[in-house]
Amino acid sequence: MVKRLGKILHRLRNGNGGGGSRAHKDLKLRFREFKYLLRANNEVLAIIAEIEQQLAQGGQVGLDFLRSRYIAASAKVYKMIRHLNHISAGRYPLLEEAFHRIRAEIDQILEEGGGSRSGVLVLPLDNLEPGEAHLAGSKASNLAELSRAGLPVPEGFVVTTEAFRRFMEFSGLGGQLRQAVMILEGSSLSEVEDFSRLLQQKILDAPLPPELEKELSEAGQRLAQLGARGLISLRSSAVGEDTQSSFAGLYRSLLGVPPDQAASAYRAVVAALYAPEAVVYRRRRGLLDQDAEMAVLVQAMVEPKASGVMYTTDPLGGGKGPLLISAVRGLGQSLVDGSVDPDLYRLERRHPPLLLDYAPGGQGESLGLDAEGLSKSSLDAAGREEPPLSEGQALELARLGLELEERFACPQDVEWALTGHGRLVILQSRPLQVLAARCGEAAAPEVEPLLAGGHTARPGAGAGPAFVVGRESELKNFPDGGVLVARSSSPALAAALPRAAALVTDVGGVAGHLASLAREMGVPALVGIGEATKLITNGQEITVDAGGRRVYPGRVAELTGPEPSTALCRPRSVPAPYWHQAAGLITKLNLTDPHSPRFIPARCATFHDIIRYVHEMSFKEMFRLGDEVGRDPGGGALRLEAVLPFELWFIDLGDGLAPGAGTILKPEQIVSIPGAALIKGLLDPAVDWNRPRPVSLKGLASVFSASLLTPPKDGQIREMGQRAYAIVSAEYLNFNCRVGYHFTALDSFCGNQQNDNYISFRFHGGAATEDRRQLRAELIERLLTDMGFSVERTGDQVSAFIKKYPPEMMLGLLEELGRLILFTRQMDMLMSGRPMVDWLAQAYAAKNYNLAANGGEGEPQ
Amino acid sequence: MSPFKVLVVDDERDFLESLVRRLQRRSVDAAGVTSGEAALEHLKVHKADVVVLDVKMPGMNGIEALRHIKQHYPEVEVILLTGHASVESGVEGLALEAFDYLIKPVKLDELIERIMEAFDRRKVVGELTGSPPPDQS
Repeated sequence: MVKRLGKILHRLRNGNGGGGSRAHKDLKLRFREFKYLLRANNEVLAIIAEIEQQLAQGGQVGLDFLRSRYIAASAKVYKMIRHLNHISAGRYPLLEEAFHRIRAEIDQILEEGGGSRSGVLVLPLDNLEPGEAHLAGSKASNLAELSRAGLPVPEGFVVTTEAFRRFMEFSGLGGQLRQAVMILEGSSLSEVEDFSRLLQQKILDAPLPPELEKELSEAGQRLAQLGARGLISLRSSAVGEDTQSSFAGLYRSLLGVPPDQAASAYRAVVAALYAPEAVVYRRRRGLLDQDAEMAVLVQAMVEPKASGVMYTTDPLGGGKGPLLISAVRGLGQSLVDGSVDPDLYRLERRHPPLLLDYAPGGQGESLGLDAEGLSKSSLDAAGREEPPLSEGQALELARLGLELEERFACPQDVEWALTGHGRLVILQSRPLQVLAARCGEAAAPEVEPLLAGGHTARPGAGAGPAFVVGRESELKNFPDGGVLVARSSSPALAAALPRAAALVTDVGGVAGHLASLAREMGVPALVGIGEATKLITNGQEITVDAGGRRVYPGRVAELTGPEPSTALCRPRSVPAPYWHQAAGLITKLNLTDPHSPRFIPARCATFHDIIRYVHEMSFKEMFRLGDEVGRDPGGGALRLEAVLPFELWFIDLGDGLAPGAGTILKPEQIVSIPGAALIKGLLDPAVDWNRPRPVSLKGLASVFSASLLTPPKDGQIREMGQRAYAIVSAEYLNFNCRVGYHFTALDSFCGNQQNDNYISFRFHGGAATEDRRQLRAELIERLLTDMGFSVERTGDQVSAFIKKYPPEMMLGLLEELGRLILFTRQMDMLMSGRPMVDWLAQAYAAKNYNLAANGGEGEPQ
Repeated sequence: MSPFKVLVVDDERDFLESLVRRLQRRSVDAAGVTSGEAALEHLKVHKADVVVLDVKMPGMNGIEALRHIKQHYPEVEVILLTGHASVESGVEGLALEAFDYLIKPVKLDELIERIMEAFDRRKVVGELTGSPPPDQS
């Protein structure tokens, strides 16, 4: 692998042509390899952060997520090893062994992982264990938990994500999907719609793997014997569905399915994973289409007398409102798809619950079952009169609701059914989005409203041109910032929601799926207002005051007020142990001390260890390289003569250092434009990093011993052997600094070509606990954002980027970064809580870099 | 047009055409062929600086094509771009000196960035071995 470069080096050493310039070309090539290595390092760190975040959230992603990140990481890790060997002419053969050893361990876990679960396509609900949401999806896994707890849940089984993966690969659709995602990047809504329809059709037409077809059919037949009229239902149970992202109504549920149609129903549920509104929703939530994994929950069909939705608290009541039950006679489909105004029960949340009031809705027909599947029938006067739930049943349901809330430790959005025998069953339960506080109703403006009434599904006001939906296909013409006006609250409208200023519908209740989505996406929504589609004309400017339940003509400026914030509890599901184990072999860091005799390839136990090792060695090699090319001072590594908490070494790629610099470099000899600017900031006397941090930070002194805040007394270089490296050319700077666990990298081009200018800044790690590291990362995120960077933070990793700035502004930023690097050094030790972040950000803004006590009134306790 | 030539190799014609078109729209001098065999034929006649190569193709697969390209045109940089990624094919491709191993989907900006990097490397290697890129207009 390194032969070619070896040859080049051989020729180089034998003076074949170019001499010094050839040496420099070789340095240029090796520097490029170094740059590629650093980039791959950042890529692996990003993957690690992504996996760690998923582990922290729990149950949001499937096994395929881990598998795909593992494959991506393995290629980058291997690439880093190759680059290091290129730079060093093959000095690290043992790294490949370490790589293959770790890889074999991960493979083994992933293959045998889950032991008996490997390759399981169909799994009875009762056999599911905690922490298997990656296999069964969130909905099935929540229901299994209820079933384990003895709550009433219909019998069923789950077609696993493993079955989904086999289906997608067996049909070749997995590969096609990944290509489609690439083709569709940046395309318009109508292109996305066309493509997702095509993909959906392909899924509907695709054959199932024979073993899946067989297992599904057999399990379906068995289950149907328990179902009403021998029927079953199939419901989406995607990984991550019904969690923080509800995907309410975006995926499909098929009710009343004869068991011989299980396979085609399965395909239909899977196909809905790529429905346009689901694709748009995922984009909006920052989820990737290629990560979407669908398990399907198959249940014995329940033939309900009544069914509906229960919110264990009013989603607009800041968590303090009453418990709400929406109910319809028959099946609940018409309720959740927003085509019927349901009956509404309000109950006081206490043990036992108390019925506050009951308001009949406007249900004209009900949905039931016959041998073929679903059938609609009109309700006669008597049917309309009789409430769907008796008071006793409503109280019993509310009691179940409070139990669910306790079990899942947060307010729940529950789908329920009342069987013909008067038994209540839970069809699903998921976290409920609760708005932190109800918006005060704005004073009614002087304008006469066009319409008044309806239900507030999500408060707030929005204005824009009305878009009256006639047929759903027209949705693709929906203008950005338009007000969506529709007959019913159909989830099919979800695709346009992210771009809507507000939503108004003629029918539908606050418990419908579209209402949930509007809350999740923060779109003011007023549903069930009656005649909006008749009274509002297409293109007319209107203002919707969803909280005040009024629609005004034109734009009413005084209505746009502060937005309510959402509060949502975190899901509790935890991935299975082997998920952790495999993930750990990628993400954990054991090699922390480069000076330890254990800092060797043989001790690398994880991918993170390997990249840590490679990263460290790559610097060593770049220095060795400097020595090798050494005769010419421009090619060697030079130590900067300055008092800094780390040794700073410079490598010149050309015109970055003044000619004639000796073995020790003086700051003024740095002529690299970005290099000089950073040094100016690092050496700013205002940031006196060498001074002890004030003990007067009360609160702190009690938590930490003063020694943590005071630098050691010996010598000027505080952390001997901690080196930072700056690789420079006239207009380029690459600065890398690893002090203990902290890692800072800065890469910048800064010249007269404004278009080429950029600063990329990364920060990662810390020695303190995760909370403190994260708080420090938040502080850095805040400071960088204030400086104008676009910043992304994942856990304790911050990456910031800015580009195309004029040179003067670039220099100011680089100088500022120099100060920031020193200011935030070891700051994680100070991070007692979020008030500290605020306080430090203010101190920094006030240029109180040394945290002088007199400038710091309001200092956190 | 870019000072470098890119050849995209992918057996999925729709994908190939879309990718080549989008590259061209971004001023990348790109051409496309649908098989490993066709790629080798193409390189005989038209030069390329960077090849973006699918891995799973009927006939000669991407890894074999990579082997041939590196044997006959060692200065050409190859980026593997696959929808059926595996640890094995990644390691194999990178061991055969593929410039990078990318997994579909990749954002167009990122792909172009990689292509430019690969070309940058190709230039430096060219300076060292005395085989500069064919057209640096």
